[in-house]
Amino acid sequence: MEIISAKRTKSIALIGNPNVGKSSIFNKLTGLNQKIGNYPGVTVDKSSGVIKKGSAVYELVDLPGTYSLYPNSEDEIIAYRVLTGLDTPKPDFVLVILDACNLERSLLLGTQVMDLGIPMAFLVNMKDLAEENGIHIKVVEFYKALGVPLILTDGRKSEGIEAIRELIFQEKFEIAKPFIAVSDYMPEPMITAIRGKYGFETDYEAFQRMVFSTYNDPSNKGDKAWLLELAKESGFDTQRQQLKETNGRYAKINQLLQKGLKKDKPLDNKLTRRLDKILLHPVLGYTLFFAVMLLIFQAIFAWASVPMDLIDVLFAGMGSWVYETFPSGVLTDLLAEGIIPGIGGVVIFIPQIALLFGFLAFLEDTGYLSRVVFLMDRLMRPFGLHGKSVVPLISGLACAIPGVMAARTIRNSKERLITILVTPWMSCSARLPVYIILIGLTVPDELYFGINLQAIALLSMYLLGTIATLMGALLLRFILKTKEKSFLLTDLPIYRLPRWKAVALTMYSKSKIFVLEAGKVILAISIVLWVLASYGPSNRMDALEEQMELEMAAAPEYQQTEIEERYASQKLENSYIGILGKAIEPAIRPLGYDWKIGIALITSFAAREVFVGTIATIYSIGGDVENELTIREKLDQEVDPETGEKVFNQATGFSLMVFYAFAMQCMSTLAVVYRETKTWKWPIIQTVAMTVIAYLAAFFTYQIFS
Amino acid sequence: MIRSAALLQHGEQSIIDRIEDSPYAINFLEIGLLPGKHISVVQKAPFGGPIAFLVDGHMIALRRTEAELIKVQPMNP
Repeated sequence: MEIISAKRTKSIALIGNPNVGKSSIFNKLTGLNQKIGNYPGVTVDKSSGVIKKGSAVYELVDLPGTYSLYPNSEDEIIAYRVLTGLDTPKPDFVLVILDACNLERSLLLGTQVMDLGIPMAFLVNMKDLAEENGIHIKVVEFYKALGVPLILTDGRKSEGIEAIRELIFQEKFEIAKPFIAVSDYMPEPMITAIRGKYGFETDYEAFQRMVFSTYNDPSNKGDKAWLLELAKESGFDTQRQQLKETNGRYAKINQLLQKGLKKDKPLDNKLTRRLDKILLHPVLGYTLFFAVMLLIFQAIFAWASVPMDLIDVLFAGMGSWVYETFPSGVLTDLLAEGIIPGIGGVVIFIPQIALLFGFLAFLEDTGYLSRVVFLMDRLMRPFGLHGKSVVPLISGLACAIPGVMAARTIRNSKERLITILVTPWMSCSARLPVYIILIGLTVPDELYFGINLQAIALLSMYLLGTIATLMGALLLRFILKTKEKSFLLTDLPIYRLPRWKAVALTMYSKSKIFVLEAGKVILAISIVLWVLASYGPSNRMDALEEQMELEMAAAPEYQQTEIEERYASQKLENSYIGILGKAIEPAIRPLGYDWKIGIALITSFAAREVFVGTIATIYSIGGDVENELTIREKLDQEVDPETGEKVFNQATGFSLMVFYAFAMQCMSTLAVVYRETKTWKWPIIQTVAMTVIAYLAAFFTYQIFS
Repeated sequence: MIRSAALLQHGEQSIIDRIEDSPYAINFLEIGLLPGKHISVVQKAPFGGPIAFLVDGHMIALRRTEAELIKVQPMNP
């Protein structure tokens, strides 16, 4: 139930074409008063902010960029849904941002919004760029023709921002007269029927609803049949009429531009044109792209390791501080062994995620990211992917969660699904600690032709992940069927200097999404795991406890820690999770794992990096569990009690790495795939397939190397 | 002489004559590919990849199959 009070904060929707400078205006207006939420019904992040002056408060909602109110991708559907009030009440006001250099195209969307009958205003952005290009906009002419306030702005230089604020606080928005007559494109009885059924206030909403009925959107279900039947009865060809309507709109827009616009010379962005001669060049363009990718790698490996080490030390310190400060007991144990390492396990990835998304935001802001789509499309296509799949896949190198979410911009549903399904195979940062410890154990730290063998091993793991991603996509290309045609039609915006503040904001918001998304799951699972690892059937645990006390009483003080550690590992063996590990041992024996590794496999199903912590606990390493060297040394000494062989020999180590390269082992990704595909079918298929492939690959690896 | 935009060479200046019918005709319209507009090639991605066009001063990238739907005629000198 929704409670509507008189004091409800009024909402203003911000809409415009992609690359029109929408986000810089949004940032200028809201500053840091932003939040990322969810739209009800659809699970796409909604970024909104607050504008305040005295007691007047307005909520500004930033809608994804779109060329029209007829959505093409998951992203653009949001704009449609919000403006038509499909899930929530319609916004009170709309601000439409127009591109001063391309008024024709941006007015297509602008006049569609006019026809919705919501009080609105136009912002004509990038006015300085238009002036440089000899474009003069006669504001008065536009106002006379459109009947809606119009403000010239330059979002990057804060020009016109005060005027926008004033317009908002005085609520100078106006309802436009309909720009086109819908009855020219749709028979009156149809308009009446649809308006009557939905209670629409304008004819255009009826037209829009009709067009939307031809989309494959889950929200269409019930009404779709009724609308399609209505169209059939009336002999209404939706696609044809939509084209007619768009052409009619352009004709009227051009009439308007004849009066309202004066152009001294044809538009020519010389700098962009010259840069593209290089950046899109068949040889130079790819060389530069490769260099950019290398720089990103350098950042997420070398630069990120400094803050990551700090975070590591900090959380280890916090854990021991809790132990020392609070009285010992179950709660302290839970806090120090469950919750703090759980949160630490999430926070540790922030530097890599922030850096990667900082780079991506930087590239997007300069206009380069659209060029990546151009450069990579041909390479991606044979694998059933799209040029736009590149960004999700690169994101996957830090974390699959934002990667899967970034796939929303892909409009072909098959290409989008393939991208979502294979992105988790890109080697994410959670695999890194697993690889590092296993490589340290099983690959000699020697030079081979001048290159460190361990570095080669790590690089191979990343290559393995990337190759698996592409091969997986290729396979899915032949399995999945679709009638939808894939196409690429994208705007390459002009190059601009990046806005550092916007880059910083993206880094912040992406990290926040990650912490909230992954954090929830990882935290919950680590608590559950802690409980399973700390408790066991009481008959076994009680006996152990008694035995330990007896031994402790008899032993001198300097031996007590050692005894405690030994019993800790015995308790783990007899805990619920230890019993589970033993239960799966027969299944994982062929992969070269014992029951202890089995436990780590189970616990790290929550998140891969949990493997390291679990292994550390199982092999009862006292003191600083985060210290890799001590873990490594201890693991190196570990031998099979029956055969006397090393547990972590090369075959087992390689087999484990291969397993982690392929297996899903990440609850958060599972949850995000569910959110993005809106069904459990895909995440379940994905997890099963990945685990089976991981098992087989690990099996063969072990058999080859042992 | 009317031919498809996919056949345009670097430096050739043309005018869009019409857009062939296709399921994504609406997307061409929406991004601003309209008859009467001035069109030229900026770069072609290798191995039959996308083509970047300059359309009335704005850069738009399309795959070759889409570019084939755009029919152009040479610009009168």
